[in-house]
Amino acid sequence: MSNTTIIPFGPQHPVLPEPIHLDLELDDERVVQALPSIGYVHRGLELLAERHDFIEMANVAERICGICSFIHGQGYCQAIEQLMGVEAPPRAVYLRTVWGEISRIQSHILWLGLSADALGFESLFQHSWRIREMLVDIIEETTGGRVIFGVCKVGGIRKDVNDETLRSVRRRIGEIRSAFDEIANIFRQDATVKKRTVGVGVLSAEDAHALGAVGPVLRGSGIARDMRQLGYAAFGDLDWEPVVEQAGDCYARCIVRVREVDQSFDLITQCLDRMPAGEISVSVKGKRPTGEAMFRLEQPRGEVCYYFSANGQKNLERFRVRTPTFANIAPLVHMLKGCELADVPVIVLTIDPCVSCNER
Amino acid sequence: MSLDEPFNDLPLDQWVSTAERHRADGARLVQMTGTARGDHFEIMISYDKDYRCANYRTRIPRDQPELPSLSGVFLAAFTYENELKDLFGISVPGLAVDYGGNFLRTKTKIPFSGDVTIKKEKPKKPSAARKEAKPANASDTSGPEV
Repeated sequence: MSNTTIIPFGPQHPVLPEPIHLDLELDDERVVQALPSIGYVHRGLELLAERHDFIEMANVAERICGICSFIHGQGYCQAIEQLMGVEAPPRAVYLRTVWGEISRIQSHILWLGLSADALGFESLFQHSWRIREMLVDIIEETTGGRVIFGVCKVGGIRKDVNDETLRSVRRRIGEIRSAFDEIANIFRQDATVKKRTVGVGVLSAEDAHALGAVGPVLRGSGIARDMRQLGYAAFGDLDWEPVVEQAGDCYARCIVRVREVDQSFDLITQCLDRMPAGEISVSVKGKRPTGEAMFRLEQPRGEVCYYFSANGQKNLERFRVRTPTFANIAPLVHMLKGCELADVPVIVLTIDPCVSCNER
Repeated sequence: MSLDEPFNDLPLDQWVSTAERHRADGARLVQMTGTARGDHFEIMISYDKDYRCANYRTRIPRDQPELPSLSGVFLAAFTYENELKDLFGISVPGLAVDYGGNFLRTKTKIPFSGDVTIKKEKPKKPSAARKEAKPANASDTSGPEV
């Protein structure tokens, strides 16, 4: 007779800000199998593309998620521009890159705070979010928004940032970096963090590749794959290499994010140093997207894919978003097999699940 | 991001063998999705190796919406295939982890099939909303208004 117990994890759980459900089959305290289910708040945003003007849809794309909102808008606009044969001006491309990297930093620091909270390290959580707030202030000052930036549009950007503000951003990025260094060392060295994460939820490089893992989950398993290497936006002009850790455990995924924050500070500085002058948008009046293609970008959580099918009408025929969290479900199921029940929240958190993205 | 990675048409009977070939070549499954067309569904799939995507499109008829599962080749396919099942109503025989249509717990069943018309909900009148918010057995009306 089987001696296993099935317990529900979620859809409401202290480590989950959004609803996702796992049925955990346990043998004593060990997880034998985990079965995820999603879709509690599925919004069907992809269907809206078939009913709304492709220009308006940029606003919807940005609302897929509240954390990587800007990068969704950026991906959508870049893809539509390519389908229309339009090129955004260099200044718009560089400013998009700066905002995208600020988004990445604030997303990673938000995650670091949440993970500290899940580990029971309250003060580290508070310090992480205090630092994140400084970045959100920069976002507000340069775009006018704190969650939805609203600056990306098909053909470029809506709002320029003057040189004085850019100098101020550069100075404050330096200050934020110094503040972040202090908490980064805690994530790197603290015994509490290590005790709960080292050797937990191991995903080998072979499994990560075979199961289609993306983002820090993949790079934490030793595979140097980062879609920014495709050279979209300004990434082709900048000097950088993907961050990789080898161990494949929760600690490695955490350290990838810590190091990527540092890297994004570098990328922002490089962009600010090379910021081109000139126009911030081109007119797309009278132009409409035509063709079928798939575009990929690197979000904070990993590779996001946008599939477009357009026939020259004002509505797209099909708009599909494959989010990084969706790709990381299969690796998560694999990581949970054989782990201790107490480690489940930490492992789930290390894929940085974004249910909002998933339920687009 | 590139436009030079077109979607190639693939006969349905080569769906699994193409996946096996890409797997043997060291590629990974990037995504799988569908589009509802007039009399058929289009299923698109992408494999990636060294940042290059190979994209394919196959067609399945609406009167027999059946797609052979790739979860035996790429286990990660089970999430995409369950999604196709739940959003488009496509049957996927051989699915490694079959949720039986309950992976995505959407309010509207098979919402992306192209056969579903979602009506806009009319905003409720304030009086009707108050009535609805009031518990059925509430007899005390002196409490604060909801």
